[in-house]
Amino acid sequence: MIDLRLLISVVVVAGVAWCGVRVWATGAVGPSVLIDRSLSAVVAGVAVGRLSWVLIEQPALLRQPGDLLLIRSGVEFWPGIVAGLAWLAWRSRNAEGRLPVLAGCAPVLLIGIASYEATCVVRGECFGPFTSVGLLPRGLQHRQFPVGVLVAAVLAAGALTIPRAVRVHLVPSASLFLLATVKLTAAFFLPVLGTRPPRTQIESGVAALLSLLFLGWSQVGRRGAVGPTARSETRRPALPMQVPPS
Amino acid sequence: MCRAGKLRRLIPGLVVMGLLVGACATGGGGRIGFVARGRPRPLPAGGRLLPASAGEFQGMVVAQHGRPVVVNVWASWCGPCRTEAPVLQRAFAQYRARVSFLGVATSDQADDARSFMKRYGLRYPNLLDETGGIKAVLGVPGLPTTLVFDRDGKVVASVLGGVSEQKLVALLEDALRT
Repeated sequence: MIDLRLLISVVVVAGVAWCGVRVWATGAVGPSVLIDRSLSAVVAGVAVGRLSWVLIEQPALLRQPGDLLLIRSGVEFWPGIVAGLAWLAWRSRNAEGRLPVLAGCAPVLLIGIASYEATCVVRGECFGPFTSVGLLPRGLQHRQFPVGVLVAAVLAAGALTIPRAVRVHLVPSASLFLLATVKLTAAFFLPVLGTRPPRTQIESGVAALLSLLFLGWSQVGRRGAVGPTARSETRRPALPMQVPPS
Repeated sequence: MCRAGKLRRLIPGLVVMGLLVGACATGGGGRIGFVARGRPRPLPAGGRLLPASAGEFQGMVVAQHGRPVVVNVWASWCGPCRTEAPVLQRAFAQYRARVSFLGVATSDQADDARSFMKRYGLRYPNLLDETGGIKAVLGVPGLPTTLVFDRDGKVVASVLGGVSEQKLVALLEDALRT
């Protein structure tokens, strides 16, 4: 039995990401390269995220290889993100260069996550604090403030503004900082078992701190340097085509 | 782009789509609006697995009138059941004073079900649905299925597939507000 609501969410995310690649592909890195890199990064991220969840939560599942494929059961978010970005950086180490690819993929990552969060409306899983005005999640009798929709709006705004507002070398870390801060904040308003902060929230805090430190270090290192913003990168001509010898 | 390049891009795309479609392979299930009826019966002691009929099951839910009841239908051989079991046990530990939890092992052997309960430390009562009658009366299409009964013994929510922590807590808090 297929969960059609989740399937619609997935299709929306894929469609938005595909459009996003065309919006944020700079002159240095074309859409086809970004798509190629992104697809393999998604696979790497999901695989590492799933394996991380299994190792942390239920190592016994390693004895049941079939259960490893039940990705809906749990995927660690930040290990998946880190693995995907590391894969991107490694794949791009020779040809296009890491920075243009990461700078091109970062806003696509934000918009992809934003679209998944926004489609909580379709899945009926827009959870948050109980409120008189809000959405009615599927199966519930009382309205809740849709934290996921707010998260989506903030991430989408970030995807649109970060490439225009910061220099290209800061786009990846600025995007990660925004993502980590939003997830850290949203976790306070989402339902959770127990009284301790969930692991994802702690990881988001660490990620926010590390990306902020990296942003600061990048700024200090490049103080006074004149460089292009990510947006102005679009005016740079594409890399010349390599014509194979006949 | 050469054919090898197209193929190289197509394969990760197919893998991703396959994973994602597979992740969508669950949905809603269970009979929303079903009302438990019958002579009230006490719940079995926590951590026990007790064979029960559909009528006895309904009686146990009726006896919990005034408290929401979470019923989880599972089997030891079911993969998503293995991953959601710790979530249900944690929820039981946190909400046991206000919500009743009842597991129903169906299409399963008693020994396997007991091993499953021991492996995941399930301390809430569980019933063994030997004939499949409980599963049938609840209209459960697949495993696992988690149903929430309100304080009047009516099913107000059901989740087919492994229930996430977030969803389960949202359902419990919502049921307690009613």
